[in-house]
Amino acid sequence: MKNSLKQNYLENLRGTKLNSKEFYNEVLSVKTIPKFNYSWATGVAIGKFLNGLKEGKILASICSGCESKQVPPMLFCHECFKPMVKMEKISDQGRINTYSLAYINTDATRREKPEIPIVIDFDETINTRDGEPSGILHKLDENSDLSKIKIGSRVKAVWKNENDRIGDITDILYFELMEEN
Amino acid sequence: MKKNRVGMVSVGMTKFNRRAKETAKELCYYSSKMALDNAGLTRKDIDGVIVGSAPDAFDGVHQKHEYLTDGSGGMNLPSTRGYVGGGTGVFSPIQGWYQIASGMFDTILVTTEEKMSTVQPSAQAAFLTIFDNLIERPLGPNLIWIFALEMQRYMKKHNIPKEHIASVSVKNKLNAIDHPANMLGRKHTLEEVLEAEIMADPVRLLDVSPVADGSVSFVMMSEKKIKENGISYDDVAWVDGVGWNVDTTLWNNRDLYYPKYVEKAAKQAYHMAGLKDDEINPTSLRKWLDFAEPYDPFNYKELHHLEGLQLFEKGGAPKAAFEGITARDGDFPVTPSGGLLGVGNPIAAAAGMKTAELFFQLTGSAGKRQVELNENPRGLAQAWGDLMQVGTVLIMKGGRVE
Amino acid sequence: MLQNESNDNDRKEVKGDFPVSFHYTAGIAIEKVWNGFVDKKLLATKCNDCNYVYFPGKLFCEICFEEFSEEDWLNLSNQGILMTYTEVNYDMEGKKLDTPIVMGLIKVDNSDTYFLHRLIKSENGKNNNFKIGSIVKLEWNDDRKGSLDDIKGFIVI
Repeated sequence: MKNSLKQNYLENLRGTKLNSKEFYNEVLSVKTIPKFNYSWATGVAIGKFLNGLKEGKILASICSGCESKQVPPMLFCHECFKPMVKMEKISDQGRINTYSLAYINTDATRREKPEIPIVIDFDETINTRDGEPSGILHKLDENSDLSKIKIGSRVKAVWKNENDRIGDITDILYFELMEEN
Repeated sequence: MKKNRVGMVSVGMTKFNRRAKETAKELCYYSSKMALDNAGLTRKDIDGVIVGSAPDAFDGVHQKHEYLTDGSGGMNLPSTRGYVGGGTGVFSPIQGWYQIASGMFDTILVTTEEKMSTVQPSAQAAFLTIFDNLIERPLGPNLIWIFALEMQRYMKKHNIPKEHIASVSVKNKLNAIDHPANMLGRKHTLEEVLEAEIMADPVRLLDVSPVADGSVSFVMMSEKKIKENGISYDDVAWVDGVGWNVDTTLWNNRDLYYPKYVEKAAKQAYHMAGLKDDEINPTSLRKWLDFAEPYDPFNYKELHHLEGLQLFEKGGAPKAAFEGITARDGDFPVTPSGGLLGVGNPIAAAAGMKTAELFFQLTGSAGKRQVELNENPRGLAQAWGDLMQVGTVLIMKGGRVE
Repeated sequence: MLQNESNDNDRKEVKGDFPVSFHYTAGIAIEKVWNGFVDKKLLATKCNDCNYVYFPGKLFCEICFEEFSEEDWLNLSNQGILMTYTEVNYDMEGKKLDTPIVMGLIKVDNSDTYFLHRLIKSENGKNNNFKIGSIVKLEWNDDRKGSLDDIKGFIVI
């Protein structure tokens, strides 16, 4: 292919490399620690959902246009764009959609014992897309038998004591593997 | 579309560094000046600019678009920002394309940039906000979780051995040795990748591309202007197809083993390039395209995206990678640049680098990285972003165009 | 409709923060300028083609997009004209300040750009009337490390 461009097009690329010591201690810099504090409105649907968690219930929203039975609940259906009309309690059991064994924390420090994030497909739900179950991100009991965790394993919510529940996703302490696995 | 054909006539880029001394503005200047110089143009010759930079939180500056006006050459010019997370690096040239194809502009300077070193203690902390603020953040999640959860689902769905996925890290980091901007080009063995430090199973350290500071720019031009300026058609990479798509934020409603948003963006691009539905299948596409640069922030993502792009059957990409089909000298080269895994990951500029690779390959100026091209050479770049949601696709062709 | 079933028991808000801090390198040009402060210099860059002087000095001219070389750097005098100013009475969190701070945009002599910094009262108390058009002079801090705070502020002369 005939072409008149330089063969070594990417010569002399610029950008001054700094090692960690130079970056943090030697070159001139400005450090700021901003205060970013937020208070987010929960909205209609999640407000009710969180109240439901306080009462030890998982609430799904029912769509007026299709058969969606959605957790987390929404004000409107993402697929048919019609309003959701009511909320219904569903079973707090489901199956593991996917999982991981996390050996690092958010601040990048290491953990001896892994945290076990999971995505759960709740039994009595139908998501807004394709008729499959819908669900949430949560965690599996840290003391679970790691060898028994599989995609499809049945799990059940373990709740905090009624007095300790405040209307937060952490009102569910974690999910645990059920005996029948 | 044949009426308002748009070409990419030059590229500029900085080295990718884990930490650069230059400010974001200065990095942008390096790459956009280089793109202008390589096109034989000055700032007076451009009609508008595009600034592509992902979350403000990485550079630590709000209104990053306005902040980068000087370095992107945009002073007193029409300037637009594109921002779709990691998808930005391919979305920005798409914006350059439609601004020129509309007939409103002839010459646009596109700059993609990120300075990841600014945010402390690490980019991880900024990624915390990717999770739902109401019902996910109280669980204390981190970004690696999402990728680990997706990788797990993908592997278990198709019974993929880790070796097949690990081979992508080996391939890309090896390819990157020949990329002048690279910060991670190195020869690794498969064992090194398989035994690297565990992060969140199944993700290990060498499965992940580290963040970087960097900038990549392009000059894009209308065919009319290219003719006026006497630029040889062989020195141009022509835009052939574009596509972009976003999926629901209800990521836990989706079966993560397959990226539907990539499929939809890809089909949009293939249709624009003139392909019919029965021509959009792996066998036909791998003849029609000469190579691909899918987004590879993790090794499994390259494979995941290849399947979304319809370049391999669902579950078929890993084995092909392991068998060398996607090596630079293989049947269908994938990520000849070395990708994010090998060159580095300054979010928006990362896919900018992949788009730039289309230019180098199609104009025959990729040096040691050059892949074999057919008579009507075509390449595809794809980027991904946000909460496993965004697919952006760009198809370019080289040589004579009708 | 879900909206019509509002209940006072529903949790109304979730609080959270964004636990990041930022470490900005001064970069090539500003590092030069701040090092200049240590030597009591105000370093600017002049573009001869555009006839435009930037203070603080930059890596490149924003207008013609050419990069500045060593010869394009110059040292400005320590005084200028007050172009505009404002008296700030509240801090960033909305708390009233005990003593208001006055911020000004100063056109340092021979620069084409304006420089943001504090306006301060001169020690002998004379002439602390800040007015647009006032001639102002820079006061340095004795302890200079290479930062904006090396400058105490500008006084009216």
